[in-house]
Amino acid sequence: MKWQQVLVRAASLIGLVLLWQIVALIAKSDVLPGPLAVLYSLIEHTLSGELPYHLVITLARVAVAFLMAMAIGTAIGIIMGRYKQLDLVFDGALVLGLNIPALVTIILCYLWFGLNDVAAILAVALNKIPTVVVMVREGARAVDPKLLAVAQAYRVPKLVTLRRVFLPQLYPYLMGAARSGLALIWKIVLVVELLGRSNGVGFQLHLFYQFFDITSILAYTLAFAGVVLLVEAVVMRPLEDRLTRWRT
Amino acid sequence: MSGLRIHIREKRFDGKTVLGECTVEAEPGEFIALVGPSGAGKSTLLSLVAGLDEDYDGEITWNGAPLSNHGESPAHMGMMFQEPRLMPWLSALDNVKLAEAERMARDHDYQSNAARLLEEVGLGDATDFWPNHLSGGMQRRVALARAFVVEPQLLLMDEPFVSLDMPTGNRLRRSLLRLCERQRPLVLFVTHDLREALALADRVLFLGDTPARVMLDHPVEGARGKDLESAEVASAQQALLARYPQLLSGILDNARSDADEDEDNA
Repeated sequence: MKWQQVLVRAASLIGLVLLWQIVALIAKSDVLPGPLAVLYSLIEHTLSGELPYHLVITLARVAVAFLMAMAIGTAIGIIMGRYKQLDLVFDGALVLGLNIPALVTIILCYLWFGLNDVAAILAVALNKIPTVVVMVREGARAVDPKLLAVAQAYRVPKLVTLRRVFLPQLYPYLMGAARSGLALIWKIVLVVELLGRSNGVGFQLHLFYQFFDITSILAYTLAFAGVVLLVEAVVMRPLEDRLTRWRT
Repeated sequence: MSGLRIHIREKRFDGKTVLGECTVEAEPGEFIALVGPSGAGKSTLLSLVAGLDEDYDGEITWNGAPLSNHGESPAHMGMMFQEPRLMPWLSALDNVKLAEAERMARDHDYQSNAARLLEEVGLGDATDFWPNHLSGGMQRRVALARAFVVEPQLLLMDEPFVSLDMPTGNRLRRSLLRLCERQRPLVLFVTHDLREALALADRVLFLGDTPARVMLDHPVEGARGKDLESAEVASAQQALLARYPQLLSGILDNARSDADEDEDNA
């Protein structure tokens, strides 16, 4: 069963690469280099040390912005889900936050806080927080009062209640928020780097764009996609399996 | 005075009175069954005693002092609900240990009794199972172990063995009485099954009327732990129902008041 799944995933990836190769052969143009050319470019950029350098910087920004957005979004989401009055107060701001274009937040953060990493990460986190809030709030509303009553009847300390009774009911929502969160943050971090940083994958892509270096753009994209798949396979899926083991 | 004293003047839900003037007094170690039709406020009464609901007019005291205060449930209280209410993401052992968390936080030398209690209710080799992997009867055993792991002086049970088949229910009732024998908690046992009440309890309180109140305080003859299907329980039930035919519908009308009614109608 497990192996079949791995096979299907691998086959679908190989199919995608084949399709790319075929289209590149038909196009026969500099605009769409084939997979092999991109792979050579990827190796070259990697060996020169420049791709790993920029990739690590981008990943660091992604990690910090992600953790910040998850922590703040989860806290606000729980509070809004549990307290109707506060939900009412902040709901308007939440809808606003959900609908402000990412670009506006980014530009404003740079203008207000300068062209630095704090502004960059803040801009990314601000873009993500509202969606985390919405998902976690949904989860907090669905928390079973009957299980909370058990914790209350047995005088379970507040922190233990949070960890063993409350949060486990939020895990599916937190996993959903984390997944969609990572996807969104990858994308926004690159824009932030393009607009106001002098390193990172986004900055490099901007450079290649100016030189019309499509092969390098695809090589960087490939490296990035590789990391995303790795994070999904090594962190997200095992984590989800662990947290939902009891359902089986 | 020692023991539990419940005096409710009124309990309202959304403006509707669900419990009227209600007094219950019980000695430590006593096993009291609360019987009444659904909607008679039995579960409500338990949640007031448990400190889960503080919005009522009245006093609930233990040895003369308020039983719970400010949303904090009493110490040394065990509780079983209509459903097992186990945390599905915790193993059977961790579910029982959850009830010990308060004790562990207070006393760092405290040794968990969870494993021993699971052993006592016959789940010694299922401690690592998730509730999903346990049968309904086994889940209630875990809930029973959890109720006793806090060494309760007060045990609140809200129809804990409802919707179990007869043999499973009987085994659980025996386990309950065995554990009670050792720790001697004061038990408030809510049930709608008169036979279960007569088989287990020392005293049966009948709730009914609107707003609900304690209509009848009936001492049970014979020792605890009678067989639900025994002739002894059946005859006790028959005697009660012969005297108060509508007792289980929450109406106290013995032969005399029937006669009065007939006269009134005539």
